[in-house]
Amino acid sequence: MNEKFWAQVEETFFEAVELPKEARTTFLNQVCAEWPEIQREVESLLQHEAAAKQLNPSAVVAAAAELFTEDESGLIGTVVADKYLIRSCLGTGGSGEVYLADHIALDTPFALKRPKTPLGSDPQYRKRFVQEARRAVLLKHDNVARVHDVIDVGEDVFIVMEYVEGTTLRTRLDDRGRPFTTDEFLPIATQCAAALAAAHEKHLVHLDVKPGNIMLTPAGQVKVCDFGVARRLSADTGGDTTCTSKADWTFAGTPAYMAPEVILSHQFDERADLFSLGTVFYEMLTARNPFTADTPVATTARVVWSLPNRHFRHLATPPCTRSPLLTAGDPLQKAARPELGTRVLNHLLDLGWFT
Amino acid sequence: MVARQEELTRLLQAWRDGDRAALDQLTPLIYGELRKLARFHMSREAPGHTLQATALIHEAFLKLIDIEGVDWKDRRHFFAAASQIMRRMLVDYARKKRSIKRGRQLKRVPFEEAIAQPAGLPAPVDIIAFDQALTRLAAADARKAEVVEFWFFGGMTVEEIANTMDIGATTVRRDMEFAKVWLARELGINTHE
Repeated sequence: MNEKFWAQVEETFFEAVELPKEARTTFLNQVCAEWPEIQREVESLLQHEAAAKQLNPSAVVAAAAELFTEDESGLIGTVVADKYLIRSCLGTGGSGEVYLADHIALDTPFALKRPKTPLGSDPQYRKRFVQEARRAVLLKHDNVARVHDVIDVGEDVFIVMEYVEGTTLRTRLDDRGRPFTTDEFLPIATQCAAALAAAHEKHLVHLDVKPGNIMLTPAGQVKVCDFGVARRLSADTGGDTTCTSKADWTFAGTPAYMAPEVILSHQFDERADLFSLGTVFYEMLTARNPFTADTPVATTARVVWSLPNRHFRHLATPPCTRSPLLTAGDPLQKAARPELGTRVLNHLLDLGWFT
Repeated sequence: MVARQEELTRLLQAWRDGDRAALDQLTPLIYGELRKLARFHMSREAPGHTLQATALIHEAFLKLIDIEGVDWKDRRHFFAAASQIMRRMLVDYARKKRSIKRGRQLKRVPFEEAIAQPAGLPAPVDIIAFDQALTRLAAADARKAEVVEFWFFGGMTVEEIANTMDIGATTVRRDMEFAKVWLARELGINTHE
């Protein structure tokens, strides 16, 4: 496009656009008699005069809003497995992203989790991951956020979970900034223990029990989330640590709730969950995590070397912390750790709180 | 934070002095801040709290750059940097989003069907197509393309553009009008009149 042509088009356009619509053709026929290309170009531009009104900075802003707010993955608005329409992102974290999706036929909301795991790199790992997640589908309990399905599509695996409205125990703890009273503590603690008891009965180990995975509904119900997507899954096969352990650590986040045997070895069982739950209980009753240090490594060291913060060693124990249930979270008393969630649950029930 | 500010200031100055590569390094630094701000603005659902490009880009920069400490001989470099970074970021992001390959079971449904637009925001423009059309416009008429870049990506007003580019406000308005029609044609935007 040469400059002269462009300048003439512009000039002719502005002359024509001043005229009433019906006068434009006559005008163009006159001035462009010898320049049919210019006439065609100006006519084509004039046809878009009304459409141009839609084009303004807010259209770019709208596009920016769409791009920047939540759709980091490009999944919003897509349909997964012909069934779930992804509506929005509920959250992203170290272990993956969680989306709110509608089951199209049932018109019911679900939470779809896309775990951040090295799925692509190792087909065996991927297979095990999907198998393990599918086992969680068998777990049905009022205090467990139900896993409905595991979808393996191309590059991604999606865990279809019950959509729970509420806040996490993490948020609740942060908002309060002070210990739970016994009356506040017991209903939550009992339901957490009941969830673990039900899982352990099916030989499902959670391995990532922490306040961020415990949802509290407005009605006071507890839902333990993320069964079947535990991050340490890769570790149980041994010999594999060089390729997966680093990735594990990067999305493991804080080790402040992990049992020492989970950190140190691949030998662990249901008791690891009870250590984690005990640590959560400690935090609820004292408003502090017993192991958290300035860095994840320092925290890990405290867990591994059984060195809870000095603060906790001489804790003026509220009555219910004397219960054996809390030894679950006390690394100094590993041997005395109750073996099953059921035992913890019974202790709680013995304390006089009945559902 | 201070170190980051210094780094940003240094990169912006390098870019002003002609170092094209500086913009590549600037973009990721600004990007995080911009996204955080966009989230913040979008989370306010009250009517009237629509996202403003001006607010976004300026806030992002002002938060990151110690403007008092910057030797800005003219505002043009600042605004030009802001507009270009915004444009580039949006395009890169839109590209990345488009290129994410999905399994066969994933299919796209029109965005309008999937999500109601937040109140006050019009239908979003196709950023990639818009960017390409704007590049073609720049080849034909660099000034008009620059006006559009300031206007659309920098969130600047007619007066700000006129002052920054050292041209008359009438010229800016004229450029805007013509460029809009031209871009609408290039983008195939139609109305049912």
